[in-house]
Amino acid sequence: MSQPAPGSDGSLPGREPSLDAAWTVVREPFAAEHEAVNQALLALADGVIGASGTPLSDASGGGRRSVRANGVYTGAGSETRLLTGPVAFHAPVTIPEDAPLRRVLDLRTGVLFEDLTRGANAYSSARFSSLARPGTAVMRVTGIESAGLSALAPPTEDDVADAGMSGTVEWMRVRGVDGCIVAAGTNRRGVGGDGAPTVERFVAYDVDPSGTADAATSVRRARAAATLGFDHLLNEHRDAWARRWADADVEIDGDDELQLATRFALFHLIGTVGDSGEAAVGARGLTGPSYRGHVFWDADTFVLPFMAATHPPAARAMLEYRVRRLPEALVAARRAGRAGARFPWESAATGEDVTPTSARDRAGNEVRILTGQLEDHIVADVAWAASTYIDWTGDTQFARGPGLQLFVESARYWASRVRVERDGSAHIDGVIGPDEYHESVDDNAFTNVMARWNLRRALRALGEHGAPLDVDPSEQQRWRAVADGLVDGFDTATGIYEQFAGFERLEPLIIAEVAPRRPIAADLLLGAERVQGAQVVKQADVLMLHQLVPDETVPGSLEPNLHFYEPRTAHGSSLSPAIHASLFARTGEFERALAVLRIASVIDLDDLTGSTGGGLHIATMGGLWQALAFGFAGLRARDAVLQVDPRLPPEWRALDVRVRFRGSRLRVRVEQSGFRVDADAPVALEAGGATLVFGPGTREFPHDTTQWNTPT
Amino acid sequence: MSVVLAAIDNSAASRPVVAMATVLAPVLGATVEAVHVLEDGSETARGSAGAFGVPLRLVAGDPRAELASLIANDDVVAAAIGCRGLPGSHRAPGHLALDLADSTDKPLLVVPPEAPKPERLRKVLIAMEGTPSRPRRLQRALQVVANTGLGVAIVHVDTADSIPSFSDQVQHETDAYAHAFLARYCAGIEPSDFEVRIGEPHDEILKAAAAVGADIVALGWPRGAGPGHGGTAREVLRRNPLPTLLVAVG
Repeated sequence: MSQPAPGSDGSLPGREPSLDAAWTVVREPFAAEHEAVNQALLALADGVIGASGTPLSDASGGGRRSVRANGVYTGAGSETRLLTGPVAFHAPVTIPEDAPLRRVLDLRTGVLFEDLTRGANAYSSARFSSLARPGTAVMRVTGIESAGLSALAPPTEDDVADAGMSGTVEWMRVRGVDGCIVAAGTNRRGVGGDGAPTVERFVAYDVDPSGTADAATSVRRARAAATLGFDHLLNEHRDAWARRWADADVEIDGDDELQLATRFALFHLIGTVGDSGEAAVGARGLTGPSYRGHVFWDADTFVLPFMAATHPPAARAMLEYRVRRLPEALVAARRAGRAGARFPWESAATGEDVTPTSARDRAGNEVRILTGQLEDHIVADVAWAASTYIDWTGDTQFARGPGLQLFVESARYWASRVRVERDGSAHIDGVIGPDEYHESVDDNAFTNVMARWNLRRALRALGEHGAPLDVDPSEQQRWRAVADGLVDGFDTATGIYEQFAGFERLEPLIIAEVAPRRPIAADLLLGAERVQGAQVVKQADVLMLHQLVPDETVPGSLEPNLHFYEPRTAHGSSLSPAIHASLFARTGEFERALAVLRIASVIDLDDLTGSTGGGLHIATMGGLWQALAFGFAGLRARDAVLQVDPRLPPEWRALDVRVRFRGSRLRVRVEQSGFRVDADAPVALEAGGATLVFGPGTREFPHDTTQWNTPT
Repeated sequence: MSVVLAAIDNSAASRPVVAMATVLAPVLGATVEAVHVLEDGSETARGSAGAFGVPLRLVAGDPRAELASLIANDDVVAAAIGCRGLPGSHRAPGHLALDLADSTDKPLLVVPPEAPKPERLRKVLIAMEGTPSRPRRLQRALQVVANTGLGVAIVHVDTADSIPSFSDQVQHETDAYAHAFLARYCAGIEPSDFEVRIGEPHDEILKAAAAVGADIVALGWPRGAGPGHGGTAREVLRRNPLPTLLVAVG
């Protein structure tokens, strides 16, 4: 199978900036007012640490250089936030406003180049956070004197607890309430080819979410990195990125802007999620302080699928984060008078719910926050993430062990959460669905159907792996009855799911007709009270069922529901456009699909939210991948079989998606003439109306012999 | 020596103008001089200057031309002038104040007759209306107050035209937006308050001023933009019970 060819433009990847526009994000010149956004866009992360893409000197303002570590928090309750650590990427350079500062982020190799190209203070630099050895930051700067240059700078938001020297290696430790970050680093002086002074820096981070990381370990690792040297570390880092791209790249032939935006998204997704231990994936990943690193449903439902389909160990680490917090979820359910596990809407270090209970909205109003109490669907979302991982990987060890446990405890929660009427109908009262404009609603279709799916998935897992001793047949029988009794609001006459009980009686305000534009935060435009009383939807709610659990929806119901709900959707959540792109692709409405896909692709690159300076919208990036892989390429893992059912817009010449499915590396290339699947190992495929097992090898599915590209 | 020029008429509004000039001058490292362009007597003006021990210069001629000329002097770092003849009046600010704002790039403190005189200036609210794509008014005002030692509060008001496209999680979104906004437009400034609001800009600016306990409100003034511009500033001037610092932009 071919891989992206590093240096196809003749450059030496990682040693000098690439010129390949499909792989590079360029920011120049320096402008303080754009720096907050740039430092997020250019952030480097390796799954363990994330460093802002701030210039080596942040003295010119606009940005604040920062380092954050996966899962290392400080603070308590809703104020819990990611701890900031010592900074490796800094240097005593001078960057005046409007300076010809050029920064090039090479997405292919994960290297950030920063050059001040003219003047007495000219310098050039290359830096990376090693994907090959996560927690290792490496930098080479040419053109600065190294005398007195410290390898580490203190964090800007937290205090240094202790620091010291071990030979030529400095170390620095920052402690939070729960954990700590320790960094050790050393500089190596040299002379560049043109006689200019060169400094190479090697910094090793060790992080401990719940204890005190050992400085001696970091010192040893920093020393080892320095011994290996910049070029060795760069080569192994570059190789690591090449391997990840070989499994995850998406090529779009026919839309250069979307191509770059897609790779930009995949780059940050890859860097955000570690692949060992546990991975706490906050809303902004490791790219900024906003949302305090809290983990939401979007980690499970938007980010995890990309990991499951391209780098299963990262998906497993994300699930491990949930598994290790299962005890707290069990306690939370008991506290609420329920059985099973109740995962928190916002989660951080301990697994307790860290959702704030009040806040000021953008209009300056103090508002109550009910999501922590009422957005129960998070329970099923976690189970869905586990199921997705199992479907893509076939990891039986997980499925029999922690996966089964997640299914059982989440099912128990739902069985205890429902209200069952005498007629056997089951109802879930007082929830918030993904459409957070409507609070405390009954029988939210998304929540109910996800709960139904969750109960059935748990029953299936018990059937496959055997029931644990504490799950007796009567309990399973109850789950079955509850699942069968759960109402879903589907109207057979219209083919529409009612989003929640009473939605159809709300003011029929069509936001697509009354708003000056979309996306728009309709709650700010119209006021929270007005949208609560109207058929104005924040983001995909009913439609999220067609994205996540299409088999739990009535066949043929996507199109009528898409046409009913989309005009009522403000897309006021950054998660919304990508999901609609995916669904419009499935119905073959390419113009509409591409319109929202393009919005999703530039939410950060164009700072559409005005908040990218606080970090990137990692879940939106996961949604973008889902739109391309699930929506357009039509990939879907169904147990041990991968469905391939593509839809290719006429504007695109080809869509090329790489995934891993149950031990096989696959490349699915869709062209207007048909599609082709390459597999490096045997794989069960459902494509072109037939199921086949093949591989290693290639199968062609010509357009004229299949039903592909036909909307269902 | 730097000077804050208090341009006073012979009305009841002259006293608060001198009073505010005397609290503004220390934060700018300046002294106060009062000037009165003779039109209809000078006794009230003399009394106002004398009450604060401020020297008064009497000049004759066209008020706009004379004051503009004096404000243009190198030693003048800011000027103060009154608006609205009597307390409680919501009449539009006089042409003279707006004409002077148009004629100078120096900060102009427009003082209403009912303005309370604080012992000293503690906090200035800097207001920014509309979209973040028009930050110059805010940044110019920030430059003016950056080194004064004053506490800085910032209000940013969105209108229906600039409602954000997205608001993901209310409990974090305001902070996220504030973080990005301050990093983008207010680098190096740590405001004591950052108010984001949606509504009529002049309404929200005045509400924010009350909420944060501001002593004065600073606004960008689109110098030379013509009668159709500066609507928010005009409304704030008309209704603000606090002094308004106009900072020229453009």
